[in-house]
Amino acid sequence: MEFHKILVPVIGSQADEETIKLACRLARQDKSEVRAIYIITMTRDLPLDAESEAEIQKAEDTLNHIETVAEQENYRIDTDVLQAREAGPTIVDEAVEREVDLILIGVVYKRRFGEFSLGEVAPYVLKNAPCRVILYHQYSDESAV
Amino acid sequence: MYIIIAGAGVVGFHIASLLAEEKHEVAVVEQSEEALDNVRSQLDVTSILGNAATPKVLREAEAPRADLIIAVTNSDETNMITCFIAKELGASMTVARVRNPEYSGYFIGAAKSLTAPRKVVRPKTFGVDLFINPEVEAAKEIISILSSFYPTPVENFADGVVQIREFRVERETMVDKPLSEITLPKPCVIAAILRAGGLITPSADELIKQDDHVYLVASREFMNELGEMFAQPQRPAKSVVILGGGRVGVLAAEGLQGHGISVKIIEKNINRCQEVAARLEQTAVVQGDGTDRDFLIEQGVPLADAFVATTESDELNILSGLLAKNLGVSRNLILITRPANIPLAEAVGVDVAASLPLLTARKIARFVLHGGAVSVALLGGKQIQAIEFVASPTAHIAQRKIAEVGLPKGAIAGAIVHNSTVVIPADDHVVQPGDRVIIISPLSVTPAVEKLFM
Repeated sequence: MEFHKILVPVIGSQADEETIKLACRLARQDKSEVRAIYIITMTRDLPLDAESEAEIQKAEDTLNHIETVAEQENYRIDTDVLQAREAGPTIVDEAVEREVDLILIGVVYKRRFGEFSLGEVAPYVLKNAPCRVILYHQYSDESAV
Repeated sequence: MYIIIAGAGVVGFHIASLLAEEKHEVAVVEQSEEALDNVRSQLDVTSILGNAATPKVLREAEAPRADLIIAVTNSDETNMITCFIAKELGASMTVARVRNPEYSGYFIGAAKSLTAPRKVVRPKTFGVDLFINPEVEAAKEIISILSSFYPTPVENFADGVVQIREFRVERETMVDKPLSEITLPKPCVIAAILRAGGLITPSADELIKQDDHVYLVASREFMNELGEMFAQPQRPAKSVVILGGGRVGVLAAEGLQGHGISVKIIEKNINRCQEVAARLEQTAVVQGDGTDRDFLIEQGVPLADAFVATTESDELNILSGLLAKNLGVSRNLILITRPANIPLAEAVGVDVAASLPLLTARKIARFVLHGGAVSVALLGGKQIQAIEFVASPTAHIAQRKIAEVGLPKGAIAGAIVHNSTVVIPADDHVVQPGDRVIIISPLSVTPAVEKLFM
């Protein structure tokens, strides 16, 4: 299986580090392009092009950390910040526009109404992605319960 | 590392001297023959005459093989263009000093439709990996000091969980006591002692002297309690007089206002007074001479909780800080441009709030380190540095006891953060992969420290 363009959405969670390491390892063989994106989701009470210094700083810090992790893996990655209403459709749009052939998405253990939940973004991407998707689930003590 | 510095002003010169001291290969590009002569006569670096914002000069400086370009000329635009061209030529990392706050470096790009995602255009998009605004950093430092209990700077590591703080020894109970006899109430390390401008690596039989500056490494929650052992806490400032209506003065005033602190600015230039008054509605702006004792008394300086001198002249700042101290103001902070003047200011009893070249150096220090360094602070002027590393599973230091890792002479492991818990490591403590390790060491042994994390 060959991947030439890998898209990795990051959100500043515990799963980011391992997801990007995995992307770098997968990419190395075919010298693929790895692009990490951070999506700032703007609530509907603000215009879509409103600038939030705190959110941009959080995005920048997350991407800087991700770049350091990639550097430790000896792989160079590209990073981008996008601003949108919803993360799921934005990831899919980005994959279409950039002709991505793999989306690597990391999730951490979450509960909703007492049940394990994947959230909204990962299922949307799994359902609508125009390419292969690898879901990386971050192991935690809680998920082992 | 091969590093090119564009601009040999005060900031460029001091960064070049710092990097040369750390044994990096440094080239300085400068348009002024006079400034370049100053570099040639004092530093062992390559010097190139010319405009760094041109491909020809950057090629001459071998930008394509540069690991880092630091553009610190007086012009924001020149700095940005230099970074852009250098990046296009193949330089790995670029840093630009940008003083105009209007250039935040970020803007939201256009979208295909009203509901389509917007791209956030970042400085990286046009070839600048890091924007540095020393004036903003200086203002932040002033605000941080004035809103805390001690008149000395603090450095944060591991997302603020660990702090390194400088305290001036004021308590008589601590004076002339060997370190081995001092029992501190909480886990901490005395990382260094600054005495008469010289730095001492503490040993067990070292005696603490009055007016020494000690650097403590501890968990943030214990820092105030530990500080009380050495220094007299002061109440955070409620009224502040700032001398100088320049960029730093105005930014500091804006920030202090935000903390509910009453601010008065003294500025000599009448036109600048009017500009500042128009910008800062809640701040009293008065025109006058900061070295005129009667004028300072008339303006209520003796009643202020703190006096901050932020003019562009080191001499004026030191003199006015001394005058304010003489008038009974308990906290006197000044801004210093030339790091060589710091010992002089401290010798006359004025607290140095910030030094622009050192603040700039601190911001870029992380980029010249290897081994997964995440943050760096320069302590004691620029004599030692504290570096925070994340220990990777393959690092030499991982899974080893501190005593066995072979820390270079003068270096100590100040603190380790393991799963959000701060540990002051004993010799038999084993470093785990993923731990954040804060190492304090002289600049000269930095390469040896980096190797432990590679």
